[in-house]
Amino acid sequence: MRFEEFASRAGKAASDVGRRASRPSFARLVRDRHRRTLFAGLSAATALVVIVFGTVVLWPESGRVAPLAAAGTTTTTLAEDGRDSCPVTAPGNIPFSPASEAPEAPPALYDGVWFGTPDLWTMVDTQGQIWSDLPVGEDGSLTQKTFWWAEGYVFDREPLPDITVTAEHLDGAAPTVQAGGPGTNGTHPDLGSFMLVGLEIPQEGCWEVTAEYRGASLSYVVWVGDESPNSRT
Amino acid sequence: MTESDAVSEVQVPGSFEQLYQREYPAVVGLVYGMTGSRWVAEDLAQEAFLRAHRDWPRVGRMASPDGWVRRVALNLARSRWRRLRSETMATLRFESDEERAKTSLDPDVEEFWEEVRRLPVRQAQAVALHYVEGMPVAEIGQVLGVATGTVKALLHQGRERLGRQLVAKGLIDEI
Repeated sequence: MRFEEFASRAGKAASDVGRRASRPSFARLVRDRHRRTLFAGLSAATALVVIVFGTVVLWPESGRVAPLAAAGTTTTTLAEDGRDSCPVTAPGNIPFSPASEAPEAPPALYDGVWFGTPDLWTMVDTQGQIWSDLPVGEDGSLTQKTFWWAEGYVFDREPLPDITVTAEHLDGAAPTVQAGGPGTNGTHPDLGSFMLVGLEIPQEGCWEVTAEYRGASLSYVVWVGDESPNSRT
Repeated sequence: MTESDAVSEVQVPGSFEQLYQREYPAVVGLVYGMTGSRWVAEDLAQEAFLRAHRDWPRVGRMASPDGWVRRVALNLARSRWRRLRSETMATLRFESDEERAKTSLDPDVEEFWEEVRRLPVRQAQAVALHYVEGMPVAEIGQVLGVATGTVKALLHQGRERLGRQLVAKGLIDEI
């Protein structure tokens, strides 16, 4: 069998899956999705109270009522609104240290750590990834430069690196942003060779940024807005 | 307010309803190719249409609202966070034998799509749009937001890579 025949058969098979899929009425879909969001948020909040505080509610006995466990604040949930529910990426316990000529850690003034793998890494804030006070473009979009590193990348050998960066709006309906393909290059004594891709974020909120370079992929979640999330424990 | 009252409160423009009814199966099929999971495909397709509905005053005026929905669905399929959430919700559902049968593909076909998912993302998306929906090059370019020449290059590179893998696995005789 030749490729085209096989690929067409595979395509039809996937298409048939779509045709057989149940299709809820759209109005009901909106209702069910809203319920699911509330349920997910409530479940996460409940789990966090039980796990983090580890308390047990004592049922009333002989007229005495035991105090309920103090409710903790939820941090990351699957609810779709609010900066409190944005699961911003924070550094792990063991920051990544590149083995290449790149600096072992970002300069102190950036208050960041390396995040990623030798194939593709970036810098994230030590307190969790937040972009605030971004420049505003003429069309109202929020502009941000993103920096990326990779083992073996040298700025003058690859001035237009084939890196693409996508930003997806996790808690809203803004369209996905894509930039790069190619990016541009940069170098600095404190940062070594790096790739640069500018993003134009259409609105504030919770965004997942994903870069792809030479088969490697790296994602982080960032809150874009003027204020920090209230709780990031 | 009763449940039926709540459902009837949702405003669904006629033009959006037509888009949803017409394009939903195709978008599910497309995302299925990119994720390999029927539950994830349905969840992500629904999310894409929900986003279109929320922004319908703008999306509805575009030259190709269906292209916009596909672009959103494909981007959602790329998000590991989204896929994890969809898979988590899917485990809460009860899947009957009948439902499982609806998505049992021929093992060779499953292998094809596994190889597609190993391609660079853009190549995988171009291949999926072309073979799942028979979409022409110009239209693929509109969905992905790239030039026609880029689509041709993506398809060519994707076919070459896929073909080599499929020949190596004995699934096809030649590219």
